[in-house]
Amino acid sequence: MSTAENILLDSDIRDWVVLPLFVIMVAAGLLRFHMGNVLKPDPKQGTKVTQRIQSSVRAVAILKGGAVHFLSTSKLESRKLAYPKLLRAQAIWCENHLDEQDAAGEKNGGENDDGDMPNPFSSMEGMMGNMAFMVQNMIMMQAIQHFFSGFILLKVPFRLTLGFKQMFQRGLEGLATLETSYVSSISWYFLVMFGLRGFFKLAIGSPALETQETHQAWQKLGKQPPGRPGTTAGAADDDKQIEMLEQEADNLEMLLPTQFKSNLDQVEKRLLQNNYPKKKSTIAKNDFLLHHSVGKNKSKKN
Amino acid sequence: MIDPMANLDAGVPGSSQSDEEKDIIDFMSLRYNLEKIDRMKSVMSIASGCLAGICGLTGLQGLVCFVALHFLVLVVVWTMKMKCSLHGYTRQSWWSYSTTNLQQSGLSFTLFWTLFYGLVYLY
Repeated sequence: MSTAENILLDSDIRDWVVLPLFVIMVAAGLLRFHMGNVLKPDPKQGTKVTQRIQSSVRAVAILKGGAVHFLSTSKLESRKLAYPKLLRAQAIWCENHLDEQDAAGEKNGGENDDGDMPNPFSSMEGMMGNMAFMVQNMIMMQAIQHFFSGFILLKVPFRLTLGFKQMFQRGLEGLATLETSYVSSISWYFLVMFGLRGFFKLAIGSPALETQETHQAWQKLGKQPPGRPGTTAGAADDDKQIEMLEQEADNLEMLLPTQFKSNLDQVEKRLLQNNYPKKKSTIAKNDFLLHHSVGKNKSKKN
Repeated sequence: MIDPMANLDAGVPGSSQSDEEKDIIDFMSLRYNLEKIDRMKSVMSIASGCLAGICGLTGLQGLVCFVALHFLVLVVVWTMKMKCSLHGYTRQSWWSYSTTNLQQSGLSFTLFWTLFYGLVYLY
């Protein structure tokens, strides 16, 4: 297929539309992200039941995850036997606590506890983030159509069918013979909007180490990171969490191998390998407290 | 610091035997590895988009460039960092290893391809 020559465009368009639009979109995305961080509400204190369950689950995760690196075999075995019992005891405590709470709640005439009121607000936080994005999108689209219409902006390097002409060449309806590849500003806006998602994953990335550590510290204090739906647990959630404890107990019993071996076994032999000292008795059989043979063997050992 | 591409099986000894089809792995290492792979794919898609735009590739040539570079990077990572053991470092099949986040990579590639093609050949 013959490659037609490209239309040469005015470099002012590049300087005043293409690159500024790109920069504005990047800045808007970063602004949205940082505003979201700044406007996040303070963490809420979790219920006692949630706190207990979370700390139990954390302990189990540590055991399953990396405990082999720093505990000896005997300690691992004893933990493996004790943890399921502890988890089950926690589950019973949580159930009793909930029953007591219900009984106390009934006594007080069925007052609404704090869990009910903030519910509508917590679910709205996620929606508000999306709303901000949509509003920003609409404003930008209107602004672009107002300021940057009526000229070709770029050429997409691949062929498009005639069906796309109407969509991508808004404001250029007079040019019926123009190749569909030449697009107007609004399609550049869409291209940037979708393409920058990958870019933002690099620029902003996963939650910074700081936020992760902050979340971990909050969890230890019993607070919960805000913005998660269902953080105010109702009775049904508590029951589910208690079931989770039971499941964890069962999992522990099944998952861990029967011989829960530590990485610390034989670690001296692995580290020293050939330099591992061979066994030699420095005390003669008849000696009790006298080590008169130590002086002779010391030089041999070293 | 966790060694880049930490081997997932190194966490628990004897994890190669699966009891009742359950797998014991180090979740932190798995998550770390997957994040790193994601990052590499993002960078690769942006760089290959710039390359395709500057070289003036159009149409099918650009698509071939994207696919070829994408697989080249994945294979290089597999041989050099994972020591040819995909299962040991990411519990993924080859299909999901190749195609996770392909759409996002493709869109980034298209963006930078269009931008650099325009900057070099149109303006």
